[in-house]
Amino acid sequence: MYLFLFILSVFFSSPVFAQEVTAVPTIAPNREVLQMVQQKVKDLLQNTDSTSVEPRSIIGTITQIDSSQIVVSYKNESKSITITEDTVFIDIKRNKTKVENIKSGQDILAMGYLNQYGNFEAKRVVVTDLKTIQNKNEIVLGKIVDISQSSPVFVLIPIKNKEIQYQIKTDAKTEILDKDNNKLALDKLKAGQKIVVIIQPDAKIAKTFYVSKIITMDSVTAQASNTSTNN
Amino acid sequence: MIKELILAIALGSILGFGITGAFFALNKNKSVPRQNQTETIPTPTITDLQMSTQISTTPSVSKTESSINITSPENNAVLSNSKISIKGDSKPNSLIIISTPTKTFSGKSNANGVFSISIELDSGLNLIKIDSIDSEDNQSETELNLIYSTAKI
Repeated sequence: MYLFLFILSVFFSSPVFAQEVTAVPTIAPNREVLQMVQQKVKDLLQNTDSTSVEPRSIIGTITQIDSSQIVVSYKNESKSITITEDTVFIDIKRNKTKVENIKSGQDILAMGYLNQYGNFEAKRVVVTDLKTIQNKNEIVLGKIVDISQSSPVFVLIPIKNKEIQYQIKTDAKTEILDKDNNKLALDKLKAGQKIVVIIQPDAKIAKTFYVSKIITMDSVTAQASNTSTNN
Repeated sequence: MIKELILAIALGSILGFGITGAFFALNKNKSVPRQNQTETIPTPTITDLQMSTQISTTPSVSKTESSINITSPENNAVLSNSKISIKGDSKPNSLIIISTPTKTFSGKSNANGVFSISIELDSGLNLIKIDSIDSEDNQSETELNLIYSTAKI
C-alpha cells in the first residue's frame, strides 16, 4: 500500500502554473489605464494652455490688418492678434479711434488674453512709436584708463573687449555706488579701477556717452586695503 | 491467484499511466517556458506624468546661453502696479543690474544664485534690460518687456 502511494506521488507530481495564468489578464487593463491617463493629461494641458487668466501683450509693427485680425512683426518674428467688436483702439494722441484708422507700418501695443483656441484676443490696441521708447542703455563692465582733470569725462576700456574705448561724461545726476550699494563721491573714482557703467549715447557730442550710474566692483574695504598696501 | 493477478494489473496500470502522465507533464513544461511568456508593459508612473507636464507647460521662454533667467514676472506681462519685484536666478553672488529706459536698479544674487530686486515701471511699455556680472567678470544679458497699465483690460 505504501509502495502504491509512493508511486502515485512520484508520477503525478507536476509544477503549478496558476501564477502564469493569472498574470495574463492584467495586461489589457494596464494599456487602458495608460491611455486614459495620457488622455486626461492631454486634456488638462490643452485647457491650461489655451486660456490665460493674466493679461498679456504683444508689440510690433503692423504688416497686415483686416477687420478680424492684425499681424505684427517684432524682432523678425510675426504674431497674429485677433480683434473683435469689443476691442478698443487708441491712437498715438491717446484718443479712441476705429480699426479703419489703423494702418500697416504703424507700431502697436496690444493688450488682451489668450482665448479658448489659444489665439491672442486683443482688448486694447494702442498705437505707439517703438523708436521713442527704445531702451538705449548700455551696461558695460570695464576699467578706467584715464580721468580728465579739466572736464567731467573719463575713458573706459571694457574688460572683455580691449579694442573699444568709451569716452564717458558725468554730471551732477550721475549716481556712484559701490558693490554694496553705498553712495560714493565722484572723486573716489581712480584710474585702473574696475567699474560697471550704465551709459547712453550723448545726443550732443559724438562718440561720447552719458553715464547715469556707476557701480565700483571693488568694495570699500578692498579699496582701503589696496591703498594701504600701496602706501 | 486472483488476488495477485488483480494486484499485478493495478500496478501495471498505475505504472503505465504514471509514465504517460509524467511524459506529457514534461513536454508541457518545455513548450510553455514561464519567463518568455511574460509581456512587459510600461506603466505610467507619477514621475513620467510630471515630466511630460513640465515639458509641455514650460513657458515658451527658451533657454539661451545667458546665465541669467527671469522667473517672475513673465515676459510681455501687463501689470497694474508700477512697483514690482524682478525675480530670477543667475550665478551665485553676481551683480544684477536692471535698466528701464529711464531708471536703473541694482542688487546681488545670493549664494544660490537667486535674486529679487524691486523696481519701478514707467507708464505703458517698458523695455527692460537685465544684466548679470559674476565674480569672474562674465557678463550676460536678457531682456524683458513689461507693460504697466491701469486701464481695464
